[in-house]
Amino acid sequence: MTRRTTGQGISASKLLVSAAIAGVLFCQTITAFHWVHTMFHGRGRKGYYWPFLDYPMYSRPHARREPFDRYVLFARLEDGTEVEIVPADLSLTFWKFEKGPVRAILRDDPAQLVVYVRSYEARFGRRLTAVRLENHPRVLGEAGLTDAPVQVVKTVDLVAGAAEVAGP
Amino acid sequence: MSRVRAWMTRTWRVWDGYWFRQAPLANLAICRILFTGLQLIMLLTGIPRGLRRLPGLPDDLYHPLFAMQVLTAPFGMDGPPPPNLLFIVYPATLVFGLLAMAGWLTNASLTIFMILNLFLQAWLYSFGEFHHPEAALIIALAILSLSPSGRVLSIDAWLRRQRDAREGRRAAPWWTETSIYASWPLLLIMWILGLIYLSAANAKAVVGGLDWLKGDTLQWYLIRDGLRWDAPLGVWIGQFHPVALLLTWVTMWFEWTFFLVALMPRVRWFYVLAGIALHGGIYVTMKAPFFTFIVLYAVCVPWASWIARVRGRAA
Repeated sequence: MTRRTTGQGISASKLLVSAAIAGVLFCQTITAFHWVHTMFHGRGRKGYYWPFLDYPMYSRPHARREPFDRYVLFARLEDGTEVEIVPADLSLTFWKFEKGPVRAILRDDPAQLVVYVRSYEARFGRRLTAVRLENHPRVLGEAGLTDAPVQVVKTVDLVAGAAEVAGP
Repeated sequence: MSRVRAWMTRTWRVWDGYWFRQAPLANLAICRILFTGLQLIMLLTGIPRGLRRLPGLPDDLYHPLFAMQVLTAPFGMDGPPPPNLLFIVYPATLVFGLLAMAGWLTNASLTIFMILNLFLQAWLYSFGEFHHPEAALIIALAILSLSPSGRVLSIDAWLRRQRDAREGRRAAPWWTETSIYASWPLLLIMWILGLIYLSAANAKAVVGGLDWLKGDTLQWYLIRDGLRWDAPLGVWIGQFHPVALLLTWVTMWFEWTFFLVALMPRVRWFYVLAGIALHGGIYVTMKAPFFTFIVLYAVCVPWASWIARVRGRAA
Protein backbone atom coordinates (compact mmCIF):
# COMPACT_ATOMS: atom_id res chain seq x y z
CA MET A 1 0.00 0.00 0.00
CA THR A 2 1.23 3.48 -0.83
CA ARG A 3 1.85 5.81 2.09
CA ARG A 4 2.00 9.50 1.28
CA THR A 5 1.50 12.63 3.32
CA THR A 6 0.03 14.73 0.54
CA GLY A 7 -3.45 13.26 0.82
CA GLN A 8 -3.13 10.94 -2.17
CA GLY A 9 -3.11 7.16 -2.15
CA ILE A 10 -4.50 4.49 0.10
CA SER A 11 -2.99 3.68 3.46
CA ALA A 12 -3.99 1.45 6.35
CA SER A 13 -4.66 4.53 8.48
CA LYS A 14 -6.98 6.01 5.90
CA LEU A 15 -8.84 2.73 5.53
CA LEU A 16 -9.33 2.46 9.30
CA VAL A 17 -10.49 6.05 9.55
CA SER A 18 -12.80 5.55 6.55
CA ALA A 19 -14.35 2.54 8.30
CA ALA A 20 -14.90 4.66 11.41
CA ILE A 21 -16.50 7.43 9.33
CA ALA A 22 -18.79 4.97 7.58
CA GLY A 23 -19.66 3.29 10.88
CA VAL A 24 -20.61 6.50 12.66
CA LEU A 25 -22.65 7.78 9.69
CA PHE A 26 -24.37 4.40 9.39
CA CYS A 27 -25.31 4.27 13.08
CA GLN A 28 -26.65 7.82 13.13
CA THR A 29 -28.56 7.40 9.85
CA ILE A 30 -30.33 4.17 10.74
CA THR A 31 -31.43 5.49 14.12
CA ALA A 32 -32.32 8.98 12.86
CA PHE A 33 -34.73 7.58 10.27
CA HIS A 34 -35.93 4.47 12.18
CA TRP A 35 -34.26 2.07 9.80
CA VAL A 36 -33.01 0.13 12.84
CA HIS A 37 -36.48 -1.31 13.24
CA THR A 38 -37.86 -1.21 9.70
CA MET A 39 -34.79 -2.52 7.85
CA PHE A 40 -32.64 -4.27 10.42
CA HIS A 41 -35.33 -5.54 12.81
CA GLY A 42 -33.36 -4.12 15.68
CA ARG A 43 -34.73 -4.51 19.15
CA GLY A 44 -35.20 -1.84 21.71
CA ARG A 45 -37.49 0.90 22.83
CA LYS A 46 -37.09 4.61 22.12
CA GLY A 47 -33.62 5.86 22.95
CA TYR A 48 -32.21 2.35 23.35
CA TYR A 49 -29.21 3.07 21.14
CA TRP A 50 -28.36 6.39 22.83
CA PRO A 51 -26.30 8.45 21.87
CA PHE A 52 -27.51 7.50 18.39
CA LEU A 53 -31.05 8.86 18.36
CA ASP A 54 -33.88 10.14 16.24
CA TYR A 55 -35.15 13.65 16.91
CA PRO A 56 -38.94 13.64 16.65
CA MET A 57 -39.55 16.42 19.16
CA TYR A 58 -42.43 18.76 18.39
CA SER A 59 -43.45 16.73 15.33
CA ARG A 60 -47.00 15.80 16.35
CA PRO A 61 -49.47 18.27 14.79
CA HIS A 62 -51.77 20.27 17.05
CA ALA A 63 -54.60 22.67 16.48
CA ARG A 64 -54.39 26.16 17.87
CA ARG A 65 -57.37 25.74 20.22
CA GLU A 66 -56.29 22.37 21.56
CA PRO A 67 -56.16 22.42 25.38
CA PHE A 68 -52.85 22.26 27.27
CA ASP A 69 -53.04 19.35 29.68
CA ARG A 70 -51.66 19.73 33.20
CA TYR A 71 -51.86 16.51 35.20
CA VAL A 72 -52.06 16.57 38.97
CA LEU A 73 -51.87 13.42 41.07
CA PHE A 74 -53.65 13.01 44.41
CA ALA A 75 -53.44 10.13 46.85
CA ARG A 76 -55.93 9.09 49.54
CA LEU A 77 -54.35 7.90 52.79
CA GLU A 78 -55.70 5.30 55.20
CA ASP A 79 -57.15 7.99 57.47
CA GLY A 80 -59.12 9.40 54.55
CA THR A 81 -57.04 12.51 54.04
CA GLU A 82 -55.79 13.45 50.61
CA VAL A 83 -52.33 14.63 49.61
CA GLU A 84 -50.97 15.81 46.31
CA ILE A 85 -48.05 13.74 45.03
CA VAL A 86 -45.49 15.86 43.23
CA PRO A 87 -42.46 14.57 41.30
CA ALA A 88 -40.04 15.46 44.09
CA ASP A 89 -41.95 13.13 46.46
CA LEU A 90 -40.77 10.20 44.33
CA SER A 91 -37.33 11.64 43.43
CA LEU A 92 -38.56 11.97 39.88
CA THR A 93 -38.05 14.66 37.31
CA PHE A 94 -41.04 16.13 35.52
CA TRP A 95 -40.54 13.72 32.62
CA LYS A 96 -40.11 10.61 34.78
CA PHE A 97 -43.30 11.61 36.59
CA GLU A 98 -45.25 12.09 33.32
CA LYS A 99 -43.92 8.85 31.83
CA GLY A 100 -44.14 7.01 35.14
CA PRO A 101 -47.19 7.17 37.39
CA VAL A 102 -49.18 9.52 35.12
CA ARG A 103 -48.74 7.29 32.10
CA ALA A 104 -49.36 4.16 34.18
CA ILE A 105 -52.78 5.53 35.14
CA LEU A 106 -53.61 6.77 31.63
CA ARG A 107 -52.72 3.38 30.15
CA ASP A 108 -54.37 1.28 32.87
CA ASP A 109 -51.08 -0.31 33.87
CA PRO A 110 -51.53 -1.33 37.53
CA ALA A 111 -48.24 -3.22 37.66
CA GLN A 112 -46.30 -0.09 36.73
CA LEU A 113 -48.38 2.14 39.03
CA VAL A 114 -47.73 -0.11 42.01
CA VAL A 115 -43.97 0.50 41.67
CA TYR A 116 -44.50 4.20 42.38
CA VAL A 117 -47.14 3.61 45.05
CA ARG A 118 -44.76 1.34 46.96
CA SER A 119 -41.96 3.88 46.54
CA TYR A 120 -44.13 6.61 48.06
CA GLU A 121 -45.28 4.37 50.91
CA ALA A 122 -41.68 3.39 51.73
CA ARG A 123 -40.51 7.00 51.73
CA PHE A 124 -43.28 8.51 53.83
CA GLY A 125 -44.35 5.53 55.93
CA ARG A 126 -47.97 5.96 54.87
CA ARG A 127 -50.29 3.52 53.16
CA LEU A 128 -52.23 4.71 50.15
CA THR A 129 -55.75 3.46 49.52
CA ALA A 130 -56.37 5.19 46.19
CA VAL A 131 -54.83 7.59 43.69
CA ARG A 132 -56.68 10.08 41.55
CA LEU A 133 -55.35 11.70 38.39
CA GLU A 134 -56.81 15.07 37.49
CA ASN A 135 -56.30 17.28 34.47
CA HIS A 136 -56.25 21.04 35.03
CA PRO A 137 -56.12 22.18 31.39
CA ARG A 138 -55.71 25.62 29.93
CA VAL A 139 -56.93 26.67 26.51
CA LEU A 140 -56.18 29.51 24.11
CA GLY A 141 -59.42 31.31 23.33
CA GLU A 142 -60.39 34.61 21.75
CA ALA A 143 -59.68 36.39 25.03
CA GLY A 144 -56.29 34.71 25.45
CA LEU A 145 -55.27 31.87 27.77
CA THR A 146 -57.94 30.71 30.21
CA ASP A 147 -58.41 27.80 32.61
CA ALA A 148 -60.67 25.06 31.35
CA PRO A 149 -62.80 23.01 33.81
CA VAL A 150 -60.89 20.52 35.94
CA GLN A 151 -61.36 16.91 34.82
CA VAL A 152 -61.01 13.80 36.93
CA VAL A 153 -59.22 11.50 34.51
CA LYS A 154 -59.14 8.31 36.58
CA THR A 155 -59.40 7.09 40.15
CA VAL A 156 -57.47 3.94 40.99
CA ASP A 157 -58.50 1.94 44.06
CA LEU A 158 -55.45 0.34 45.68
CA VAL A 159 -57.25 -1.59 48.43
CA ALA A 160 -57.00 -5.41 48.67
CA GLY A 161 -53.61 -5.55 46.99
CA ALA A 162 -54.87 -5.01 43.50
CA ALA A 163 -55.26 -1.75 41.67
CA GLU A 164 -58.72 -1.37 40.22
CA VAL A 165 -59.26 1.37 37.76
CA ALA A 166 -62.39 3.50 37.75
CA GLY A 167 -63.26 6.21 35.28
CA PRO A 168 -64.13 9.76 36.34
CA MET B 1 -13.49 -5.75 -14.35
CA SER B 2 -11.47 -2.72 -15.44
CA ARG B 3 -14.70 -0.66 -15.39
CA VAL B 4 -15.32 -1.64 -11.79
CA ARG B 5 -11.70 -0.90 -10.94
CA ALA B 6 -11.90 2.51 -12.65
CA TRP B 7 -15.11 3.28 -10.77
CA MET B 8 -13.55 2.23 -7.46
CA THR B 9 -10.48 4.35 -8.15
CA ARG B 10 -12.66 7.37 -9.00
CA THR B 11 -14.80 6.83 -5.92
CA TRP B 12 -11.75 6.55 -3.69
CA ARG B 13 -10.29 9.75 -5.16
CA VAL B 14 -13.48 11.67 -4.37
CA TRP B 15 -13.67 10.15 -0.87
CA ASP B 16 -9.96 10.77 -0.24
CA GLY B 17 -10.11 14.33 -1.56
CA TYR B 18 -13.10 15.13 0.67
CA TRP B 19 -12.18 13.50 3.99
CA PHE B 20 -8.37 13.62 3.87
CA ARG B 21 -7.55 17.09 2.62
CA GLN B 22 -4.75 19.03 4.36
CA ALA B 23 -6.26 21.12 7.12
CA PRO B 24 -4.99 23.06 10.14
CA LEU B 25 -4.59 21.06 13.31
CA ALA B 26 -5.43 24.18 15.33
CA ASN B 27 -9.11 23.93 14.29
CA LEU B 28 -9.24 20.40 15.67
CA ALA B 29 -7.40 21.27 18.87
CA ILE B 30 -9.64 24.24 19.66
CA CYS B 31 -12.69 22.01 19.18
CA ARG B 32 -11.14 19.47 21.55
CA ILE B 33 -10.69 22.14 24.23
CA LEU B 34 -14.20 23.54 23.74
CA PHE B 35 -15.97 20.15 23.72
CA THR B 36 -14.12 18.71 26.72
CA GLY B 37 -14.61 22.00 28.53
CA LEU B 38 -18.34 21.94 27.89
CA GLN B 39 -18.64 18.31 29.02
CA LEU B 40 -16.74 19.20 32.20
CA ILE B 41 -19.10 22.10 32.87
CA MET B 42 -22.05 19.74 32.44
CA LEU B 43 -20.40 17.24 34.79
CA LEU B 44 -20.09 19.94 37.42
CA THR B 45 -23.55 21.46 37.01
CA GLY B 46 -26.50 19.56 35.49
CA ILE B 47 -25.35 15.95 35.68
CA PRO B 48 -24.83 15.77 39.50
CA ARG B 49 -28.56 16.55 39.99
CA GLY B 50 -29.45 13.42 38.07
CA LEU B 51 -26.74 11.32 39.72
CA ARG B 52 -27.99 12.27 43.20
CA ARG B 53 -31.40 10.81 42.34
CA LEU B 54 -29.98 7.45 41.29
CA PRO B 55 -29.87 5.79 44.73
CA GLY B 56 -33.55 6.68 45.30
CA LEU B 57 -34.86 5.13 42.10
CA PRO B 58 -36.45 1.66 42.40
CA ASP B 59 -34.58 -1.16 40.65
CA ASP B 60 -37.83 -2.05 38.89
CA LEU B 61 -37.43 1.08 36.79
CA TYR B 62 -34.01 0.01 35.52
CA HIS B 63 -34.14 -0.85 31.81
CA PRO B 64 -30.53 -0.54 30.61
CA LEU B 65 -29.72 1.14 27.34
CA PHE B 66 -27.64 -0.76 24.81
CA ALA B 67 -24.51 1.21 25.78
CA MET B 68 -25.09 0.37 29.45
CA GLN B 69 -25.48 -3.32 28.66
CA VAL B 70 -22.24 -3.31 26.68
CA LEU B 71 -20.29 -1.42 29.36
CA THR B 72 -21.52 -3.53 32.28
CA ALA B 73 -21.50 -6.95 30.55
CA PRO B 74 -17.79 -7.63 31.29
CA PHE B 75 -18.57 -7.21 35.00
CA GLY B 76 -21.59 -9.52 34.93
CA MET B 77 -24.03 -6.86 36.14
CA ASP B 78 -27.68 -7.68 35.53
CA GLY B 79 -29.23 -4.96 37.61
CA PRO B 80 -28.22 -1.33 38.06
CA PRO B 81 -24.65 -0.69 39.19
CA PRO B 82 -24.22 -0.08 42.93
CA PRO B 83 -24.60 3.65 43.68
CA ASN B 84 -21.26 3.59 45.53
CA LEU B 85 -19.58 3.13 42.16
CA LEU B 86 -20.33 6.80 41.54
CA PHE B 87 -17.69 7.72 44.14
CA ILE B 88 -15.06 6.20 41.84
CA VAL B 89 -16.44 6.89 38.39
CA TYR B 90 -17.45 10.51 38.86
CA PRO B 91 -14.10 11.87 40.09
CA ALA B 92 -12.24 9.71 37.55
CA THR B 93 -14.34 11.28 34.79
CA LEU B 94 -13.39 14.76 35.98
CA VAL B 95 -9.70 13.86 36.10
CA PHE B 96 -9.63 12.37 32.61
CA GLY B 97 -11.65 15.31 31.33
CA LEU B 98 -9.03 17.74 32.61
CA LEU B 99 -6.26 15.61 31.09
CA ALA B 100 -8.07 15.50 27.75
CA MET B 101 -8.65 19.24 27.79
CA ALA B 102 -5.02 19.95 28.68
CA GLY B 103 -3.93 17.39 26.09
CA TRP B 104 -1.76 14.96 28.04
CA LEU B 105 -1.72 11.52 26.41
CA THR B 106 -4.58 13.11 24.52
CA ASN B 107 -6.05 10.21 22.58
CA ALA B 108 -6.00 7.87 25.57
CA SER B 109 -7.40 10.40 28.02
CA LEU B 110 -10.07 11.52 25.52
CA THR B 111 -11.12 7.91 24.94
CA ILE B 112 -11.40 7.17 28.65
CA PHE B 113 -13.20 10.47 29.28
CA MET B 114 -15.69 9.67 26.55
CA ILE B 115 -16.31 6.13 27.85
CA LEU B 116 -16.80 7.31 31.43
CA ASN B 117 -19.22 10.01 30.30
CA LEU B 118 -21.06 7.46 28.18
CA PHE B 119 -21.32 5.21 31.26
CA LEU B 120 -22.60 7.97 33.56
CA GLN B 121 -25.10 9.30 31.06
CA ALA B 122 -26.32 5.86 29.96
CA TRP B 123 -26.75 4.91 33.64
CA LEU B 124 -28.89 8.01 34.22
CA TYR B 125 -30.91 7.31 31.09
CA SER B 126 -31.60 3.66 31.88
CA PHE B 127 -34.55 4.56 34.16
CA GLY B 128 -37.15 5.37 31.54
CA GLU B 129 -36.14 8.91 30.71
CA PHE B 130 -33.55 10.13 28.25
CA HIS B 131 -32.72 13.43 26.61
CA HIS B 132 -31.20 14.53 23.35
CA PRO B 133 -28.89 17.52 23.90
CA GLU B 134 -25.91 15.53 25.24
CA ALA B 135 -25.95 12.80 22.61
CA ALA B 136 -24.23 14.70 19.79
CA LEU B 137 -21.49 15.89 22.16
CA ILE B 138 -20.71 12.32 23.26
CA ILE B 139 -20.46 11.28 19.59
CA ALA B 140 -18.19 14.28 18.92
CA LEU B 141 -15.89 13.29 21.80
CA ALA B 142 -15.71 9.75 20.43
CA ILE B 143 -14.78 11.11 16.99
CA LEU B 144 -12.10 13.39 18.45
CA SER B 145 -10.60 10.51 20.44
CA LEU B 146 -9.70 8.89 17.10
CA SER B 147 -8.14 12.05 15.70
CA PRO B 148 -4.87 14.01 16.13
CA SER B 149 -6.65 16.66 18.23
CA GLY B 150 -3.73 16.75 20.67
CA ARG B 151 -1.06 17.44 18.06
CA VAL B 152 -1.11 21.17 18.89
CA LEU B 153 -2.37 23.25 21.82
CA SER B 154 -1.63 20.45 24.26
CA ILE B 155 0.84 19.21 26.83
CA ASP B 156 1.77 16.49 24.32
CA ALA B 157 2.66 19.19 21.77
CA TRP B 158 4.66 21.18 24.32
CA LEU B 159 6.66 18.09 25.31
CA ARG B 160 7.31 17.30 21.65
CA ARG B 161 8.52 20.83 21.00
CA GLN B 162 10.83 20.64 24.03
CA ARG B 163 12.24 17.41 22.64
CA ASP B 164 12.67 18.93 19.17
CA ALA B 165 14.36 22.01 20.64
CA ARG B 166 16.83 19.83 22.55
CA GLU B 167 17.61 18.00 19.33
CA GLY B 168 18.06 21.25 17.43
CA ARG B 169 14.87 20.98 15.35
CA ARG B 170 12.89 24.14 14.76
CA ALA B 171 9.11 23.86 15.00
CA ALA B 172 6.65 25.72 12.81
CA PRO B 173 4.14 28.03 14.52
CA TRP B 174 1.37 25.83 15.94
CA TRP B 175 -1.40 27.60 14.06
CA THR B 176 0.25 26.73 10.75
CA GLU B 177 0.68 22.98 11.34
CA THR B 178 -1.54 20.86 9.12
CA SER B 179 -2.41 17.21 8.65
CA ILE B 180 -4.43 15.14 6.21
CA TYR B 181 -6.19 13.72 9.29
CA ALA B 182 -7.27 17.12 10.64
CA SER B 183 -10.37 17.68 8.52
CA TRP B 184 -12.30 14.38 8.69
CA PRO B 185 -13.35 14.72 12.38
CA LEU B 186 -14.76 18.20 11.85
CA LEU B 187 -16.53 17.24 8.62
CA LEU B 188 -17.98 14.13 10.28
CA ILE B 189 -19.37 16.17 13.17
CA MET B 190 -20.94 18.54 10.61
CA TRP B 191 -22.58 15.53 8.97
CA ILE B 192 -23.81 14.25 12.34
CA LEU B 193 -25.42 17.63 13.02
CA GLY B 194 -26.86 17.62 9.50
CA LEU B 195 -28.37 14.16 10.03
CA ILE B 196 -29.81 15.24 13.37
CA TYR B 197 -31.55 18.22 11.83
CA LEU B 198 -32.74 16.10 8.89
CA SER B 199 -34.16 13.61 11.39
CA ALA B 200 -36.13 16.40 13.06
CA ALA B 201 -37.37 17.72 9.72
CA ASN B 202 -38.27 14.23 8.53
CA ALA B 203 -40.24 13.51 11.70
CA LYS B 204 -42.26 16.69 11.23
CA ALA B 205 -42.93 15.78 7.59
CA VAL B 206 -43.90 12.17 8.34
CA VAL B 207 -45.88 12.75 11.55
CA GLY B 208 -47.14 16.28 10.98
CA GLY B 209 -47.34 16.40 7.22
CA LEU B 210 -48.58 19.60 5.64
CA ASP B 211 -50.42 20.48 8.86
CA TRP B 212 -47.08 21.24 10.44
CA LEU B 213 -46.49 24.04 7.96
CA LYS B 214 -49.62 25.97 8.93
CA GLY B 215 -48.07 27.48 12.03
CA ASP B 216 -50.72 26.16 14.45
CA THR B 217 -48.51 23.35 15.72
CA LEU B 218 -45.54 25.54 16.60
CA GLN B 219 -47.93 28.06 18.13
CA TRP B 220 -49.39 25.32 20.36
CA TYR B 221 -45.94 24.07 21.43
CA LEU B 222 -44.72 27.59 22.23
CA ILE B 223 -47.61 28.06 24.63
CA ARG B 224 -47.47 24.55 26.07
CA ASP B 225 -43.76 24.69 26.86
CA GLY B 226 -44.02 28.30 27.97
CA LEU B 227 -46.65 27.25 30.54
CA ARG B 228 -44.89 24.05 31.50
CA TRP B 229 -41.43 25.55 32.05
CA ASP B 230 -42.45 29.05 33.08
CA ALA B 231 -41.24 30.89 29.97
CA PRO B 232 -43.56 33.92 29.63
CA LEU B 233 -41.99 34.97 26.32
CA GLY B 234 -42.99 31.66 24.74
CA VAL B 235 -46.55 32.02 26.02
CA TRP B 236 -46.73 35.59 24.67
CA ILE B 237 -45.23 34.85 21.23
CA GLY B 238 -47.42 31.76 20.90
CA GLN B 239 -50.52 33.93 20.86
CA PHE B 240 -49.55 35.53 17.54
CA HIS B 241 -50.21 33.17 14.67
CA PRO B 242 -48.29 35.14 11.98
CA VAL B 243 -45.12 35.01 14.13
CA ALA B 244 -45.52 31.28 14.67
CA LEU B 245 -46.04 30.81 10.93
CA LEU B 246 -42.81 32.68 10.11
CA LEU B 247 -40.85 30.72 12.74
CA THR B 248 -42.30 27.48 11.33
CA TRP B 249 -40.91 28.15 7.86
CA VAL B 250 -37.55 29.36 9.19
CA THR B 251 -37.25 26.19 11.26
CA MET B 252 -38.12 23.98 8.27
CA TRP B 253 -35.60 25.72 6.02
CA PHE B 254 -32.86 25.42 8.67
CA GLU B 255 -33.47 21.74 9.46
CA TRP B 256 -33.77 20.58 5.85
CA THR B 257 -30.65 22.40 4.62
CA PHE B 258 -28.14 22.48 7.52
CA PHE B 259 -26.22 19.54 6.03
CA LEU B 260 -24.95 21.95 3.34
CA VAL B 261 -22.34 23.19 5.83
CA ALA B 262 -20.50 19.90 5.25
CA LEU B 263 -20.39 20.54 1.51
CA MET B 264 -20.13 24.32 1.12
CA PRO B 265 -17.68 26.13 3.42
CA ARG B 266 -18.96 29.54 2.31
CA VAL B 267 -22.39 29.02 3.91
CA ARG B 268 -21.06 27.89 7.30
CA TRP B 269 -20.99 31.28 8.95
CA PHE B 270 -24.60 31.88 7.94
CA TYR B 271 -25.85 28.60 9.38
CA VAL B 272 -23.82 29.08 12.57
CA LEU B 273 -25.47 32.46 13.17
CA ALA B 274 -28.90 31.09 12.24
CA GLY B 275 -28.38 28.09 14.53
CA ILE B 276 -27.35 30.26 17.46
CA ALA B 277 -30.46 32.38 16.93
CA LEU B 278 -32.67 29.28 16.60
CA HIS B 279 -31.41 27.45 19.69
CA GLY B 280 -31.15 30.67 21.67
CA GLY B 281 -34.75 31.46 20.78
CA ILE B 282 -35.88 27.91 21.60
CA TYR B 283 -34.29 28.18 25.02
CA VAL B 284 -35.78 31.57 25.84
CA THR B 285 -39.30 30.63 24.67
CA MET B 286 -39.46 26.90 25.43
CA LYS B 287 -36.57 26.27 27.85
CA ALA B 288 -35.22 23.47 25.63
CA PRO B 289 -31.46 23.57 26.36
CA PHE B 290 -29.58 22.67 23.19
CA PHE B 291 -26.48 24.68 24.11
CA THR B 292 -24.33 21.69 23.21
CA PHE B 293 -25.28 22.20 19.56
CA ILE B 294 -24.16 25.83 19.68
CA VAL B 295 -20.74 24.75 20.99
CA LEU B 296 -20.58 21.97 18.37
CA TYR B 297 -20.89 24.65 15.69
CA ALA B 298 -17.22 25.35 16.52
CA VAL B 299 -16.40 22.72 13.88
CA CYS B 300 -17.59 25.24 11.25
CA VAL B 301 -15.30 28.05 12.41
CA PRO B 302 -11.92 28.59 10.63
CA TRP B 303 -10.02 29.19 13.87
CA ALA B 304 -6.54 28.81 12.38
CA SER B 305 -7.07 31.46 9.69
CA TRP B 306 -8.52 33.87 12.26
CA ILE B 307 -5.47 33.34 14.48
CA ALA B 308 -3.11 33.79 11.54
CA ARG B 309 -4.89 37.01 10.60
CA VAL B 310 -4.68 38.39 14.15
CA ARG B 311 -1.05 37.39 14.45
CA GLY B 312 -0.31 38.89 11.06
CA ARG B 313 -1.85 42.21 12.16
CA ALA B 314 0.08 42.08 15.46
CA ALA B 315 3.33 41.53 13.64
